[in-house]
Amino acid sequence: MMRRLLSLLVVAAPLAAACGSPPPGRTVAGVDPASLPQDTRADYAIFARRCSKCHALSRPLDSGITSDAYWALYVAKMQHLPGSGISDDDAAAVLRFLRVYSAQERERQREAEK
Amino acid sequence: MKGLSLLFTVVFFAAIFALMTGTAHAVERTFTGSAQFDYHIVPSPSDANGRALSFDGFTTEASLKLVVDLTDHLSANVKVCYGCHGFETDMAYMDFRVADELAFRAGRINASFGAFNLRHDPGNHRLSDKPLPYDMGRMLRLRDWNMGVLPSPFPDNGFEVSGTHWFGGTAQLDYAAYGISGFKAPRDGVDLDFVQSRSGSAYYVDNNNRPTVGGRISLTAKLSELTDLTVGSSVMGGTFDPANDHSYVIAGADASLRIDRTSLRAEYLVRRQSFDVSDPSRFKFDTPATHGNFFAKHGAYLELEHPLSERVDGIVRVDGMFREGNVLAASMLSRKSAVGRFTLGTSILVVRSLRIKSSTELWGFSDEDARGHVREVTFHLGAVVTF
Repeated sequence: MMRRLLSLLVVAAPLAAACGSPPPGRTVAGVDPASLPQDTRADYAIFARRCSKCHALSRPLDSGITSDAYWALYVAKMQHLPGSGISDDDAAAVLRFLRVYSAQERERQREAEK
Repeated sequence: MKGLSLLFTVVFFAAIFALMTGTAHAVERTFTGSAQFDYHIVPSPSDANGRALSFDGFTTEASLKLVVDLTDHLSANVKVCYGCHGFETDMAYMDFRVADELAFRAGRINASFGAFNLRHDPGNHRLSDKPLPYDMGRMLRLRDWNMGVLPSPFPDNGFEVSGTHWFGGTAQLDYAAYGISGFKAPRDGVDLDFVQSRSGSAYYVDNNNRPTVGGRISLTAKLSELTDLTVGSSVMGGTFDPANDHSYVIAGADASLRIDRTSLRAEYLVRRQSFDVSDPSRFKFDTPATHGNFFAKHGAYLELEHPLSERVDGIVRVDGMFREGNVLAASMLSRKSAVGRFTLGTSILVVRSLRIKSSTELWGFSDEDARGHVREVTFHLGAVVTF
């Protein structure tokens, strides 16, 4: 049983890795900073550091949320979580990054729909 | 009393005012979830069975959470989990935030206790199982130990007041105070009966009409751009039997240090619980007239989580429990018993949102089992997906 399980994982892991190469501008864990405007990269670093404290970055990045108003509401919620360590300055930086990221996502969606 | 009534009235009307003046926007819905499946390998001789020690084999934990933001201040939250007990409602509550420093939750909640519970979803931690103080059935000898100090998660019906306050941009103070139904057991129970908390046959209501109360306070300090330190303490207490004759108090302290993407976490919990000693023949040891009617169960863990690459995290954990007090005659435990565990694990991000978790656990017990063993080695291999 154990040998079968290990064999399955050994076969499945590279297959999954091959099938799931990240889309342009993304890395397996987050966003490729090179795909971001120069002045957003520091904001992304704060986003990556703060948000990964509790959850994977794919949670917000793959959430499908592209509304700036909703991001503002959501980041405020995260800021209120105990021990989040997200200060007002951090929240502003996170929101700046998410606005840029959401705009890129909207653009990607438009391109995909063409 | 008059002052308390006045305070309550002011808070109530402030809440209503905030509710009415919340920014009007479209109702937003967020749907998240996770699914973890894990194979627990418990090597055992051919004449023995891993099940005698633990739940070996496959386990699945899945969760679906829906949050509906009705206004900027008010949201409805429902989280349904599937695990060893089947489907459970882990959360079903209204969350109403009057201000940063004042929020209310009412319904089925996970009361604020300890640091681990803040990220108890399997999608949020890197090992397949929980630290021993929070174990809910994955540990070896779970029946003798009756799981952890405070099995996690522990959804319960109740009400919580909480808030957060920032001192400049460098320190965050969080507090929570709550009243919940509390844990249950029959009057002659020697330990808590966690099945009663999740069984419809006992109804999802309090068994003694007296709430368990508790709270948590924590302080997070930003020591530098890359470093956070959080220290916290928690406590809860109440009665567990229908006659309110016996009580439990659970206290805890925690500290976590995060340097860039590396986390070091430490937590300590203790539960002191009284029990009925009117029939000494039920017990394995003598029941002294004084200090013989309770036990204390201590638990602690120290955990280091460090990213080895973008895809791979390494985790080292040392955890254990110590129980002091009488036990039922058939128990394998002694008046003083201990269990310790050393875990070495990795978590590999295979593709976005999909992780493979593997770990090796070295166990040590103070009491011999029926085979005369005091050491075990077990393995976990599993995968978790989040969305």
